[in-house]
Amino acid sequence: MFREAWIIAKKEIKLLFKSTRRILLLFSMPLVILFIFAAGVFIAGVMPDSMDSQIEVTIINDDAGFNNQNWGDNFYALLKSMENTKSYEYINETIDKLDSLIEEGKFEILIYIPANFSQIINQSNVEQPSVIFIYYDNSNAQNEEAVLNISYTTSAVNQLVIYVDYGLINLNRVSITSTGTSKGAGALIASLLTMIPLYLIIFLVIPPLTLVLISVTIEREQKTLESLLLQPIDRKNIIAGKMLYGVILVSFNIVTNLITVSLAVAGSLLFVIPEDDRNEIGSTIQSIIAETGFSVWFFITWFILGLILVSIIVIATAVLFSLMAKDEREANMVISSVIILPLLGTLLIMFVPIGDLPGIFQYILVGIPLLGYLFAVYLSFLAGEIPIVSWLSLVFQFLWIIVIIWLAGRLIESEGILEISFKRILSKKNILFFRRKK
Amino acid sequence: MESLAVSTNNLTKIYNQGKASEVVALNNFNLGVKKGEIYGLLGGNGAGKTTTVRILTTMIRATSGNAKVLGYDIITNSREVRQIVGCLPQDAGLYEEFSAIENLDFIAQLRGLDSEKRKEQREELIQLVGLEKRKNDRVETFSGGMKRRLMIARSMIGNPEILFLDEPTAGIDVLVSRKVRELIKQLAINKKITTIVSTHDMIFAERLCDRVGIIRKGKLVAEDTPSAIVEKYGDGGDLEDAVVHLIGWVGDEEGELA
Ligand SMILES: Nc1ncnc2c1ncn2[C@@H]1O[C@H](COP(=O)(O)OP(=O)(O)OP(=O)(O)O)[C@@H](O)[C@H]1O
Ligand SMILES: [Mg+2]
Repeated sequence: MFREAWIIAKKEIKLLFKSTRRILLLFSMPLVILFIFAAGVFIAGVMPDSMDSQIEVTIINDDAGFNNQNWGDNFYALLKSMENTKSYEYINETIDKLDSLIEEGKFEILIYIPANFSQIINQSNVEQPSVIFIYYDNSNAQNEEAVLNISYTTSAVNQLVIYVDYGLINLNRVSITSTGTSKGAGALIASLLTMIPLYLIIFLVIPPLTLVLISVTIEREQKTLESLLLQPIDRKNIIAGKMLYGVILVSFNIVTNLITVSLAVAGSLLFVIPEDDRNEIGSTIQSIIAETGFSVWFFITWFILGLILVSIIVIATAVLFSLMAKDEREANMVISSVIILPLLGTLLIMFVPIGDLPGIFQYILVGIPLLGYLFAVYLSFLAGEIPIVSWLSLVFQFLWIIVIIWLAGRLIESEGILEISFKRILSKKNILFFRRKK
Repeated sequence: MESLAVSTNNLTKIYNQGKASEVVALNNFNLGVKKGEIYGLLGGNGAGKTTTVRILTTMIRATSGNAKVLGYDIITNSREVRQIVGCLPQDAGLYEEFSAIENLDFIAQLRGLDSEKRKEQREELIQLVGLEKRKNDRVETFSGGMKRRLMIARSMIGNPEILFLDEPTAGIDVLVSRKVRELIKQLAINKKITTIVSTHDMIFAERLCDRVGIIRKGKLVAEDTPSAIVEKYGDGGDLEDAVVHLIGWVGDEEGELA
């Protein structure tokens, strides 16, 4: 089984290297990425550096204190002295401004310490922790970082509380709730992040998709398919061979893209970005990873698993469609529609609040092949974790792979395979869906 | 029965069954080809020659009836059939960007030959069809006849016991045609290889075939040695006259002139 598939995949690779046009297709994407990076770095170098702009933190400290202790003041003092947070510009406001501030959104970061802050900390019998509220404009990534830094300070408060007052171990004594307030900006960022898989699909998967599609239609056009089918091999192994070819192409493409991206990133870090900014970027990344801890790696694992599944879906679809396509023209038709699909998906994400849809719709959406994964990534970003729908999406994607490969298997076994075209498939759906009469 | 290399039993093929475009390509077709025999399939365009070859090489399925190739059922043992059958399809092609050698080598790999055998066979076959000088050139630079010759070589890879050649002489010159004829004869004599060849070249058929069968509208209307056919139906002429007579023959129930 594997031997025959390998012979076919090997032949495809050999043929690939016989045509400059096809080779170019395979290598063009890393070159494009390199170009985009170069352009991005250039623009970043020319633009005024936004990293240095001063962050304004509006603070409303309403803490009434308890037993001559005012933990709100302590916290504020800490903010102004801690390494990470002392550089921010602090603006004091009074409690009566709270509602209007929140309503009008006229702040970058707003910290609200309620009146009972110290009281709750000092009541050892109280179950719930004492809370600091942080509102921030999350359309600006800088603010996200600042909120993370402010959150750290609460752990310092925690230790002080524990040490000074009780010696009790209760890490939940001070908690922080942070809310992004810029209208829909969280969704915007989530959908921008959703573009990552979209980019990946376009850059990593489209060239292999095209090549796999061509590899079968060329057999039909050059009339070698019949000679292939005449050999003493199982027809399903032809599918396996083309799939294997696709997997090899995708892997190759991922490796070359990774190399070019790493080179581009390393190059820009070393030669373009000044050293101060470099350190700042490093510490930002570190702090984000430290904050989210394990779940980042969890997420990355999920993300990559999904990418692998989606890549296999694309390859399997390419094989299936190439079996249906009469010639390269029909194949190109397929390629363009496959490219448009993820674009449509991203548009949908941007204009339909799928995060707010009833559960059943979410389950249906994440079940769509390929696109379902994009939706799942989006939902995961929104939720800040990997919800069950996102896991289910992977299961759905896996099931789609099985269905598509099964269909391709049925198709190649069908007797009209030598003359099949989309027109014939449409008029003869039974080729795909019904068992042949014995 | 045992001495038959190919036998068909009421083979019927109806394309697009039940539709307006329905075509009965084979109609209770019965064929018996003996081992080591060179059998010619003659008949007009659309008579059903290619359909017969495609069914017997397991490319398509008969609508009804069955057939055996060296004892293997074409449906239940299709893989074994393909293992012992070599075929030159009527409408075949080659990997244009591969050289002659690479084209042969790929098929040899699929036939499970080890690298030594592959090398030996492809050199031998390239020689046989007279392409030594061009063996490393890309096929896209070949003439139509050279491609056809390479395809004939390809059909012989892996020492098949039965050869199906669907119009092998289409587009090849008389010299090569003669060489191919001699080659098939050699294979029949030395290796007892059975050959079923469909052709429109009457001289080729007459000089090559032990027996010929004339197909008309999916039915075998006559079958004998070329000389006997000429005698019976030739009306004092040659094989061409006999075949013209047979395929234009108005005698069966369907009756109309072809
Ligand atoms: N895939 C197909 N779909 C529908 N009809 C077909 C198909 N293939 C062949 N036919 C029909 O079946 C009949 C027999 O065709 P076949 O190709 O077997 O003829 P042939 O004897 O090989 O002719 P030729 O000498 O022209 O090659 C013809 O009427 C043809 O139109
Ligand atoms: Mg024919």
